[in-house]
Amino acid sequence: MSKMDDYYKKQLLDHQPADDGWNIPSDDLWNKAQPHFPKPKKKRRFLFLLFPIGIFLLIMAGYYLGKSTRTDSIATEPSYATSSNTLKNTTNTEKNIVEVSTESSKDLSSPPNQSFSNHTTNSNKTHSSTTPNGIKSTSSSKEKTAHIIDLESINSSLTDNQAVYKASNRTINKDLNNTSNYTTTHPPFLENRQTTSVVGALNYFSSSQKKNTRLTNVDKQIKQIQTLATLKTLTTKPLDIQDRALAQQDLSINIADNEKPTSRHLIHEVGTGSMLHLLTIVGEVENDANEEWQDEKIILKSYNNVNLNLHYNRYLSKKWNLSTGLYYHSMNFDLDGTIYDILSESNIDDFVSSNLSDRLNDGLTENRQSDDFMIELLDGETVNAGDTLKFGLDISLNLKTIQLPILINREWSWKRISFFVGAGASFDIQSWRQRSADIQLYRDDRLITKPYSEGETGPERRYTYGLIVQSGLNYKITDNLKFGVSGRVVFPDLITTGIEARFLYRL
Amino acid sequence: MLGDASAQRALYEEYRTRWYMTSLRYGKNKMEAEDIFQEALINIFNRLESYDHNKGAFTTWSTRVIINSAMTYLKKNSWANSMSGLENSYTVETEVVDIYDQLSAKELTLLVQKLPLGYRLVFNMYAIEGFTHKEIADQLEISVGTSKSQLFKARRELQKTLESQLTSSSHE
Repeated sequence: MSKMDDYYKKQLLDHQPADDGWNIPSDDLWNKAQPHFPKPKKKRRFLFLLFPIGIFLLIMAGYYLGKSTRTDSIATEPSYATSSNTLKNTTNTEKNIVEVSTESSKDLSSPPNQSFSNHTTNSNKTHSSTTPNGIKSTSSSKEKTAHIIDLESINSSLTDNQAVYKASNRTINKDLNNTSNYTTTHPPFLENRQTTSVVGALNYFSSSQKKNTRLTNVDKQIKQIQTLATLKTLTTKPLDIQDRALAQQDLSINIADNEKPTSRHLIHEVGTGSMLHLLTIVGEVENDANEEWQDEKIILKSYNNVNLNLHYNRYLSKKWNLSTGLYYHSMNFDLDGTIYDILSESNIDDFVSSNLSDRLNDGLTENRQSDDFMIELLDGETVNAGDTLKFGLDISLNLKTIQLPILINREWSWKRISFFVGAGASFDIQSWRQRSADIQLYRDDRLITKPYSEGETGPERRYTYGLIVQSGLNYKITDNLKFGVSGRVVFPDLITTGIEARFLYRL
Repeated sequence: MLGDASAQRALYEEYRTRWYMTSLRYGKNKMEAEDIFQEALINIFNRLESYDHNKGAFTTWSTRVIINSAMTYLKKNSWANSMSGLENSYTVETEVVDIYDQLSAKELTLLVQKLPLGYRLVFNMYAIEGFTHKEIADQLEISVGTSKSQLFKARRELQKTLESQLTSSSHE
């Protein structure tokens, strides 16, 4: 190596920034190059986590709401009306105590006039009550509450055949083993013929207790009362037939309640619907203007779209429900226009390749001819990494998507109309099929490829997730049938966004 | 690093002078050098994933990418005329009189920029980057002899330019 070479090397490989800045590139160069750097990779891991987290949260929300609903359902049993009974139901879901009173008519020969009232009072203090009939209930409540039966007031009269029974459901401490002192004496009502009705009420409440609390001690005490009541019933005089029927009716109501302790809110709905996709409504979508390439223009048209949705809703409470189902979409797209792209090392082989491609790493240019897509360059034309090319596209695609959604919805009702909003996620299975493709490549507005056309290819399957937000209205046509309209937005692929009309049937 | 704008910027800040000076040596003027530099930046950051630290230093790799970018650029723009007629040149190695001691890096860079493309490439690759004539020949798809002759001519051209500059400055 010559002395001159050494000197040059020494001088030119000293890369210290000069004071006058001659060897420092302007920021302009960076700013121009930077947009062509690789974009941040989508945090797919996050998305993959998002779905199970979302499911978990929904389940937890469902569990919580379901739990609170069951608690509410005890306090909000619906009223039942028969032709001969006057029933009243006063509900306050905020409160924990249920008091049930049953009153029979004075005259056994006249049609019974039975009232079934249900109202609530709130208490979480120590309770001690002694009924006029001698049933004394003392309980202490410290922190958490549960329900038990307290025969607070039962009035009966053997002479006028009038009996008033009250069963109170009071809040006491869970740890009744240690704190409650529940004593009973044989009340006069046990002589009464309507004891059966009381037993029914006890059955109802005790069953609810069993299902909703674990106060075994309370259950035992209730059992004791039931046993006493039943034994006493056997010793009483025969009931009047009509009253016996009434008592049986009351009992049957309570037994029915016992079988369905989950209340009317825990209902299920199935349904079907169809969506008008946003793209169908809009007709076509054009890309935003590109400052760098002014004549870049892509028009996306969508047509002949089909959608069928199957729905399943499970109500957790009056206002909350979980919905899932299966949504099927078949959509057709036309992609028409021109886009620009700078050919990079990574994408050059996406549409053109050659046996010389390995040499691209050495930075040497070469003639590339397409193998993968058979796009043939015109004679003498070459493409290289770094080339800015204009793509003339006319591509026709078909997309079939199956969505498996899970959403949680909140409802607000007004007369027969209910308004709802919901959010959730979906697991999407997409199948893309290319129906046809015409592609031309231009450099400096000069066509560099021979005419190229492709037929049907695919399908290419893709699995993805979507986040769903929806809102809509349901109209109650009958007690069991609803018609609804809703808007659904799906992120990040807005393709399956649209407005849906559907029918729901309450099971 | 991929897609992380702040990390990209940090890397750029670290190496920009080196990269830019390399680009300056391969372009025939500042404008051409900046084009090369810009394309080189795009290539470096797009190919960053392919860099393997086990195969060599990042400096070497990135310089190589710049040289390749320069080759691509020059081949596309001014290769055809400049590289023709390089064959059948004689190969001579001579010592050039050492008259460069007083020249700054900037002035030397300007001198190199004035060299014809073929001379400039071979001189840069051989004298500065340390390629062998075989490697240069492979890269530029020329013979080893041509590479040597280009180097000789480059040195002679540099000397001639410098002498004329010194002469003109001494007359002044």
